[in-house]
Amino acid sequence: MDVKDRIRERIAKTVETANADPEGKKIAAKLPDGKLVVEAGEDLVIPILVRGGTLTLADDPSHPKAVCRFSDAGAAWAVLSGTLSPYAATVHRQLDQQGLSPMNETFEKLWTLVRKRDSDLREV
Amino acid sequence: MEPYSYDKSFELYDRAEKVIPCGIYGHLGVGRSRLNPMGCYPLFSERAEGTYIWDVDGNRFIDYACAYGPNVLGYGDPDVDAAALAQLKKGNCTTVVSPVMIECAEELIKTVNCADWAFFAKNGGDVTTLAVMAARHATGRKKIVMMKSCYHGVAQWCQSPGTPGVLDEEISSNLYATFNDFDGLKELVEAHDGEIACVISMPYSHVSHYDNILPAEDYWKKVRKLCDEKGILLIIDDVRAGFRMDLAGSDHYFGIKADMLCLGKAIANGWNMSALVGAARLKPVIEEMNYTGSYWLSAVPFAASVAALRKMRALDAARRMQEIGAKLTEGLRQVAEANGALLSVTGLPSLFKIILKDPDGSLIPHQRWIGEMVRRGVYISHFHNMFTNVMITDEDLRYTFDVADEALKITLKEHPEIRTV
Repeated sequence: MDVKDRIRERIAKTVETANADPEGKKIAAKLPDGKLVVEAGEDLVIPILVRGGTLTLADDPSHPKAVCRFSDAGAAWAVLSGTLSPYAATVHRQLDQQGLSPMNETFEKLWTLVRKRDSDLREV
Repeated sequence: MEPYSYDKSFELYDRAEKVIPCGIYGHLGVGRSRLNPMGCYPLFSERAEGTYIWDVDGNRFIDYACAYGPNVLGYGDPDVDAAALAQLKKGNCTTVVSPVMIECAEELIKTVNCADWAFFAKNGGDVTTLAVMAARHATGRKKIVMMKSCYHGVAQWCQSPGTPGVLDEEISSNLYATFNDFDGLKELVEAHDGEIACVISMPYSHVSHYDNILPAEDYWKKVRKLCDEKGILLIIDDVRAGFRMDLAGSDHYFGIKADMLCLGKAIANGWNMSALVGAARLKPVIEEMNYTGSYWLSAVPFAASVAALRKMRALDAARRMQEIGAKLTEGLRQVAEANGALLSVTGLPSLFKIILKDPDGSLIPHQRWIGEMVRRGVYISHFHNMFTNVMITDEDLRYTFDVADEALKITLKEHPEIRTV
């Protein structure tokens, strides 16, 4: 599978986990309403709408409350798959999280939960 | 002016990242977008003096973060540090306690209106936790009321659901009210009549990322009365605001007397200590608690605190910081207005919150503006309320306004949508 497809799949799984998984729902409850846009390079843009802790994949990336911008797809997959620390990625400018921080921070917790589930680090 | 660069800071981060979780963690750290836009903030400092810090690349900053509160008299205040160093020569962490501990408690009781006794620890969270434990012990009740999105430290009981490592059971006795909504609080208290040990709250709402909210005129008096009627202890977490609103306590500022008041940060001008103070009737309750720490009775911070409390009283420090903060925030508001932008200024001037408003409420232009100020020598955090200290001069303020203006012009070019005219 192409790395960009992996990223799309992982973000979709993150949205699903936020909406349906008990632990994910608990984390997602802390998301402020608004639009979060995940970007990985110029041609991979995934807007996500948040309303009352429920997430929906959207089409229009305009007017975001927060932007989670990876320098490229490689960096995005490295962070999402846990091979690159989001802290080191931030300092080395491979990850730029702008806007309402609680939105980015909470979404980061959600993708971390998905990664742990995916790698059997945590029981479902 | 030429923006700063941070080559040495970033070299050091690569070393730190190998041996320390996150490289730099916590509220001074690189997580949670705290230092974004990355490249605008220094990561490591070399030294500090008065209201300034110098980073490892030799850049100087006027520091409005004040170490997130402790710097109230100026970094390295000569009187406070002389007292601390004199005590250090005599002893610090020893088997037998120094009498300076008594002196420190006496100074606090003299200074803080609700203080009949003082219990010492290290961090704010040590004493908010003790206050809640003591309230439960005193009342024999399990539940506690906190304000939504509040911050009382990082112990499990005060973290939010879903926080890594926090069990639901550890927070299942927490009830959450909305700050300033007295009717909502009353409803909550009545729904749990006889079950609530305490209400714990900051004196006003200073939640990160959002405008701060001052209490309605009679809010605290009504809360005090409700607590008295229902046998609930009222704990004011004054760790952040303490000594910056009123040396006698932020509860005193708002015309009430807390049962317990949590103090830290400014209490010793950066020397590491915190204190819980409270009403005489609660002293026997505290005596029954099992609560201590290896460094909590160390003598050096007590000596520093005695000197800091005396100097703050002599300078009327809270009033002075309010005046400086008022000049600062008014000047920043005028800079925004002159550039056709809207700056919200909330909270009290000595621990002010500023947000450059944008139509989406995203804070993206705000973060850009703050970042451009930081890389020109004015250190402000984009997410937290900021602080004043008594060493800030009019020249510092003028420099700040010039930098704010230059940074705002840069921001407006990238974000014309924030223009209001």
